[in-house]
Amino acid sequence: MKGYKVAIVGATGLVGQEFIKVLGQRNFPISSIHLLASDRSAGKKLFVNHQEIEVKETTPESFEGIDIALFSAGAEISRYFSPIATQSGAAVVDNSSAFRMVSTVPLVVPEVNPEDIKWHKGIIANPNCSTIQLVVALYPLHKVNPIKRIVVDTYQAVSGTGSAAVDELTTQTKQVLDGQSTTPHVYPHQIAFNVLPEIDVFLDNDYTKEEWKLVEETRKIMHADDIAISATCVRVPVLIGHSEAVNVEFYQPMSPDEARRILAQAPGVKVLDEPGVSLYPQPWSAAGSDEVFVGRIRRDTSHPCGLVMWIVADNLRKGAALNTVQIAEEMVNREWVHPGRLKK
Amino acid sequence: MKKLGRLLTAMVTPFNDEGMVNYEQAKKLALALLNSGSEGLVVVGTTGESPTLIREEELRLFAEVKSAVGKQGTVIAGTGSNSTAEAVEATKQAEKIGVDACLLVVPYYNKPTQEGLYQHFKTIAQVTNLPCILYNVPSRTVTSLSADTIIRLSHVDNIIGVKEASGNLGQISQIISNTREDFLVWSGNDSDTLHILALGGYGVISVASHLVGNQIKGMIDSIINNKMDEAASIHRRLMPLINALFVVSNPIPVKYALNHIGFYVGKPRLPLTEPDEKSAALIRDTLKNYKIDLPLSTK
Repeated sequence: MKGYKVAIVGATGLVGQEFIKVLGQRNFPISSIHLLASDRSAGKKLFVNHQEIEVKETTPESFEGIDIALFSAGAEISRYFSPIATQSGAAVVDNSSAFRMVSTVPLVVPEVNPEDIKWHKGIIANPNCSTIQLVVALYPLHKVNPIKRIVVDTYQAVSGTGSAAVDELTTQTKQVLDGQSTTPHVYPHQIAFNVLPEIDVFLDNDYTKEEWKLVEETRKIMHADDIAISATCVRVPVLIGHSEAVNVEFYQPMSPDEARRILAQAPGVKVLDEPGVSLYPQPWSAAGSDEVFVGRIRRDTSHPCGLVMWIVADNLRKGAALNTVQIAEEMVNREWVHPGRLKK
Repeated sequence: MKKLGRLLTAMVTPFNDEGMVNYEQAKKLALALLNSGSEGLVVVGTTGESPTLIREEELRLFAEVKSAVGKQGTVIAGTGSNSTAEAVEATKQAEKIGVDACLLVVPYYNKPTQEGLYQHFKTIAQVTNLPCILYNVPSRTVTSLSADTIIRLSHVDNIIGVKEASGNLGQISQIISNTREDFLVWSGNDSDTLHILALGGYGVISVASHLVGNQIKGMIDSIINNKMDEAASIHRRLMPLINALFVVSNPIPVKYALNHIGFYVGKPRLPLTEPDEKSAALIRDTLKNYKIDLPLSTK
């Protein structure tokens, strides 16, 4: 099997390290791996398949000869380095928000719109974590019964913010249990034993940017500009695993049984739905898994065409690293790595 | 041979307020259909009111639609007739214009024998290099192509398939079993698409795809990917719409529906009329329960 030269930008971050894990677990065809990060992290060593590899500083020269670059180092870094990487001939899969809503950049969840990868011009965007699990679970239903409106409330883990937020939650939790006072750094308020209805900045329409991403990205991925969506995104003191309470209105009625049957066959979805024995998805048990878990599927008693459900996934895996690597896999499998250039 | 597409729309012919062909709107409709699931268009079929179009209008429709569509989709010209000579002439002219294939309906009204039908289609196919699709629709033509005649005709090189609207699934199984691998069967009835594809048919020449093309495409994809549960769910949900679109003679309901959703295609030409109020109300009420996939263009 041929191998690709893969660069990971943001290799020391939570998602970056997950990239390394997922690439290894899925036997991604790699001939060489290049770990890149900021100058602060340069010189650190990370294990890749039991082998220590040194992290290098990201520079414009880092991308020479690279086939595929996976970015997860924030929008600023992506905006600066992605064009340089593509000019060097690399295909970029970017986990930041920098290019997601750019019309010339495909935004892809392989279970939903793999064909969009085909028209990439060097950069493919990986959606926001809360969007990915939503569309993986809803698209199979939308295919058989188009969706008119979605109301979603999220319960998002701190690892979505990064390792500093994970430290803040654990530190604050200890401090509170020890009777000490806490000082918020990463979040505007204490996150331990608390919930914060503020993720990313507030916009002019009083939604947060996270909520608006859910609206716009969902429509773009599902090719459904006319779905009405309203979201409330909430940070909760959970380490890993985003949960979503989702209310869906379809064009026609759909029974919970039919929804379960469709979802049971859907790619990347696992139905956990036996309320009688308290079986439903939870972030604690979803952490480390690749699937999007769906449960609590029931009729919306307030609307004849409505269903309500509970969707949980590991935000670092399907919500970030796994989806990014799946995009890279689709590119490789379909020979869409270098469109317009000679196939390698 | 170029792939003609699994989902082809039997396109209506838009008329303006004076009853003249609205070529601009025909081009817009063609592109809108290709942007909502259809892979190709049958122009000047019965849905396109072929009985009340004159030859000059037909040829101009082929040319204008083909030039608008370019490589985005295929154009299949309805060039059939109950006169072999007429059909030969229309097919030759359509080929000159550059359409991708032609659809040849079973001769209506004059009730030929099976041998006559065989000679008719073979004669037309032999004067053209275009791929030819047979069209069996006994509810409209009285005479039906038998499975045996279709199987016989499948040996003619450029007769590449049949649009089957007989509703006779036994006959369709027989055709699929006894023709070469690349002889294609398109469903000619929206209500039969699921069944025909499950039997090994290829696609559908659809009327409902004017409105719900992406959903029909989704159903076809589900069947191809062996997801019959999914396909059946889509099919069952589409059935009330399909029934409403055939509550009176096609294309009366689909034209009314297109006008109603804001895609102006005008009234049908006489002797077809607009639906009466009872049928119109049924169509309007049914449409409320559906997502319309067709992107709307202004009048």
